Amino acid sequence: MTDLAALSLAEAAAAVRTGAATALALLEACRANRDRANPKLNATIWHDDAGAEAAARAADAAVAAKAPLGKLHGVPLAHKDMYYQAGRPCTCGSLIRKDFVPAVTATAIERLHAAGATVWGGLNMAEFAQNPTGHNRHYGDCHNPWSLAYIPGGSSSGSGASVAARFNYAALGSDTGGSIRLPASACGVTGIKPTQTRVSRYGAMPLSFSHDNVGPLARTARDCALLLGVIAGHDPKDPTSADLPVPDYEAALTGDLRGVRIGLAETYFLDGADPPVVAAAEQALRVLAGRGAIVSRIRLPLMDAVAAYGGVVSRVEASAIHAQWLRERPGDYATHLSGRLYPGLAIPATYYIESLSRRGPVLRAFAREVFANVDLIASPTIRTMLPSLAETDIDHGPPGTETRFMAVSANTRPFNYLGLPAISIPCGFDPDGLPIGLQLAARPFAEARLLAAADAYQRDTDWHTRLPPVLAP
Amino acid sequence: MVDLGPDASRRDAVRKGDFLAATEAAVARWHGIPAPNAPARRMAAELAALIEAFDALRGALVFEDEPSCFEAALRETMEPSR
Repeated sequence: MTDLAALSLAEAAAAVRTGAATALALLEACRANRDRANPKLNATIWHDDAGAEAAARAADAAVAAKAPLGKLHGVPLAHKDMYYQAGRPCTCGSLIRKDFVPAVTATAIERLHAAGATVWGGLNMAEFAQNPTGHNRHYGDCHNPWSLAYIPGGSSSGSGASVAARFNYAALGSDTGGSIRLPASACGVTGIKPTQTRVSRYGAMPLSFSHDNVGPLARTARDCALLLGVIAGHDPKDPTSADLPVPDYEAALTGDLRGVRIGLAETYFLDGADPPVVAAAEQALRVLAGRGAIVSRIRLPLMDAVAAYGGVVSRVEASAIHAQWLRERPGDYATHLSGRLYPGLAIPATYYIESLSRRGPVLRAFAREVFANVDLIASPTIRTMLPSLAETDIDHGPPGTETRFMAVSANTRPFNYLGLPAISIPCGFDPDGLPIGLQLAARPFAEARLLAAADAYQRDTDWHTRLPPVLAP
Repeated sequence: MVDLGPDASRRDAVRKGDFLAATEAAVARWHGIPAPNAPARRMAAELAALIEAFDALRGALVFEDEPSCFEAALRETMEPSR
């Protein structure tokens, strides 16, 4: 008998459409894994089992009635608990928004609904999407499905953990400095941060409006292509979203990488990297070369500028959003969060404007030099071996814990300032048994190229199919 | 006046102390927010490194196109065939 929870998103959707499985059966299979794994993982903040069951029955009735079916008809999903759904809770992982019930629905959620997907719950996340580790003082830390003492990555911690533990076919995450790619890497799943402006942010909790991105985490590149194709595209409710056609991402998955130039980034991205992580990335590039990719090493320009300017933009925008609550409810933030928000209040507006106004010129200069030589930039997603929750716990750790904490997102942050799309795919395990991720980045709006490379890699490897120990009997 | 003596690290420490005190005073005056905890103070003290990073960039970056729209840059740097 097929384990329905083990299906990929694409397989699950096809099973419902063809009548091979019911939506209710998918939901029950996921729920069984959730009941088994989640007490250890703490990947959810809330779930609505009665609502999910009703939605599944309605989806099955539509199949029986031969109604038109969307691409994701009847597939039960849960998302990072920062996507507004009218009339449902949305805690943003915070105490401050514990009782917040939005009146509107995020465009990404609406598009998933229109494609037939249902929502069964809200997933654990860093408080206000503000840490790369998965710590959460208010709802409890989320744990890594491969070893509970380690970070699951953040801020979309529950998204990564629930997809890895096979109780969620895919999940929306958000990425302001790596928050999709980091949990994807740490949990051994696939996650893509689209080009800035590719996906509407309407109804998604803001953190840094210049750097925020909406995107999927799933078990395969194909699943990410399917989900991204549903949510991408211009949205009048988000005037910053790009008015460009959305390619057929799934059609780009041919397995053929002949002539695609991939450069392993030597500058910055390998500084202080752990040898097992570098070795896994290099081996992944050899696999891609086997598919016809032309692999080289590349030095990247302007990384000092990207780091300095990007840090200012993120910090200032986040601090501005939270200033009122910092003034009125400082005790309702975790120590590490109020600690991170505070310095942003001291940065002069002139630094902020300088950083923003340089963003276009920096991108142009970077793209001109880099993409003349390569199509894709490769690096480890996290350059060190995965740290434990204890090693990165600023709230309870000794002075200096911040350094280890910030190092987690060192390789992902640059692409948020540059606005480039980037994907993380599992490419091995470190000596502690924790997943390692390979990050690929591309020109603006070249998500199809990223997904094609990731899919080609997954045709030749099985890292993405392995089951974490948390599912062991 | 504090006698710094010949010890550079001590001199740095005092300078950072001054910087932190000035930063805390500025945030309190402009925003009415005191430093919430020790990590906040440590991370605020690290802004000194940000100032140094900006100093290092000044004059080092020369762009043909000066301040301009980022969204336009995203479109201009897409793959040529698109």
